[in-house]
Amino acid sequence: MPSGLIKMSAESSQGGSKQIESRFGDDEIFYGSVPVALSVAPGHCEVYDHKQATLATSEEEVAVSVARASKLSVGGVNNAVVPCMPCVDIRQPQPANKDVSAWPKLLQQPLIKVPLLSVDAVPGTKAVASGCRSCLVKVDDGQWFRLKGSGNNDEGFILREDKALGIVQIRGCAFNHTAARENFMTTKLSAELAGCAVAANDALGSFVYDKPHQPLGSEPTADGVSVVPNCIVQRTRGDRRLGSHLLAGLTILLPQFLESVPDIKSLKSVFPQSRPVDPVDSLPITTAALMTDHSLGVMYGVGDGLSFPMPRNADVFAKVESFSLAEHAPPLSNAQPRVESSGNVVHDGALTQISNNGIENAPPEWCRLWDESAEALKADLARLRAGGGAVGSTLVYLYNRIGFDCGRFARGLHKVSAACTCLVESCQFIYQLCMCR
Amino acid sequence: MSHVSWGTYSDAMCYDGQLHCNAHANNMVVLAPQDGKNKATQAPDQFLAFLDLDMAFGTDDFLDTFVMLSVESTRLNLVLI
Repeated sequence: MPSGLIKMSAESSQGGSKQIESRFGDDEIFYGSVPVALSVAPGHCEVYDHKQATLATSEEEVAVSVARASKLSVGGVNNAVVPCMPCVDIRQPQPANKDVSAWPKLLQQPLIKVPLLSVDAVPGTKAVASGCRSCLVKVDDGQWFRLKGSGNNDEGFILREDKALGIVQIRGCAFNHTAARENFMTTKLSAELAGCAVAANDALGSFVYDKPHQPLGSEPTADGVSVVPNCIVQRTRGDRRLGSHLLAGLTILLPQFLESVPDIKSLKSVFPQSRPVDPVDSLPITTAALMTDHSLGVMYGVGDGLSFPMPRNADVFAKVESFSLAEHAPPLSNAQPRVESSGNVVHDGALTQISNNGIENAPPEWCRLWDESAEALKADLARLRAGGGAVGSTLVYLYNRIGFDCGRFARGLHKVSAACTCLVESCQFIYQLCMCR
Repeated sequence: MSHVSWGTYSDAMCYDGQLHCNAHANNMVVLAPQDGKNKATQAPDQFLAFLDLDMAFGTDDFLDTFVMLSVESTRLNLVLI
């Protein structure tokens, strides 16, 4: 993947202006591009040890798990709540293993997000936001780590009241029971799904914050429920999301990849005859409708579907392997499509992006990277065509691979060992599951 | 049937009839190219990876905490067979 290099000016925390070098490349594409700052926080680190992890099934431990179902009296409020998953806790050896000498140096003490220009920020740290409560940080050897629960944006851990529910939550953090569960399930599924799916994260442990980052204090409730903020620490392999980034991005950019738009007749031709048809518009019913119906059928135990009772297999799904699209690389950043008031599309616009401020011109570091990527795609497409192979469409292949990867993860979940009863399907991935059969 | 839930359940943070659900498309992430390679062939093998398991549970460690809720709620979708 290419990288764009640009010199830019920025205000330093001391108020002066300095030249900094900003290189956009795989880090920004796959991990994030909204910078955050981190400060060392009071507290300690705890190592997660999967070999020592056991289920907390004693009567006293289960009582604590169950107590989380109710509103808690703690820290001066009587309606606090913490996540209450329907499962027992994960037990780790006590006292906790605090020897984090094997961790990257930067992570050997708790970190918390602070404002970008904070004088407390650890200098020279490359970190990017991930949602409101998490961030990713790159360490010296080039590896990235996820800090899940490192503050609500840069506000620390805050109390938020939901008046409709009559509850108060701490926002921006994990807790000891959610941190242990994240690390436990990540390690368990990573091992059990090896060969069919990849976990994005590897468990390391957690930060346990001390005052002043304990908005409900350090003492547990009378039932033993802890409300001390934790942060889950894991090595990570990426953060761009399938829904918000990849699928939404492809949808926005799709017209730029196509030389011509396929007509309805050719699109309908890829669906088998037995695909149910919408009686209103005579088009194949959407895959979303088909699979939502399947999900309901499975959940309620009435077969493959409520309205469409047939199996979800090749008899109903589109056959896209040979479907060909006329593709080309998108225009360069300074030759983007622009619609004139007359309705004509001209290609003399600038690359734009959508942000919280609306649609605006993309910054130069993204333009450089866009251009290098577009040129690389152009060369790759030319090479594929020159090869004369059975390349139908790289876009169709990409969408196909997205479904395949989701499907083999869902299929892997179905093979995870269990000792007793079965849970009803809870996920939307049944579609992908069927697609990868 | 799956023996693992990605995290679909109800607790005191939910409105009546509402569920937490971590089984959504944004809990798959795009792998950086070097992480998606087949270790033996070095060919691209995996595009996506799963994450967000802090609310995941399985049949082995299931505990019915929902019955302890003081609020009357509808229990529509999390059903044991």
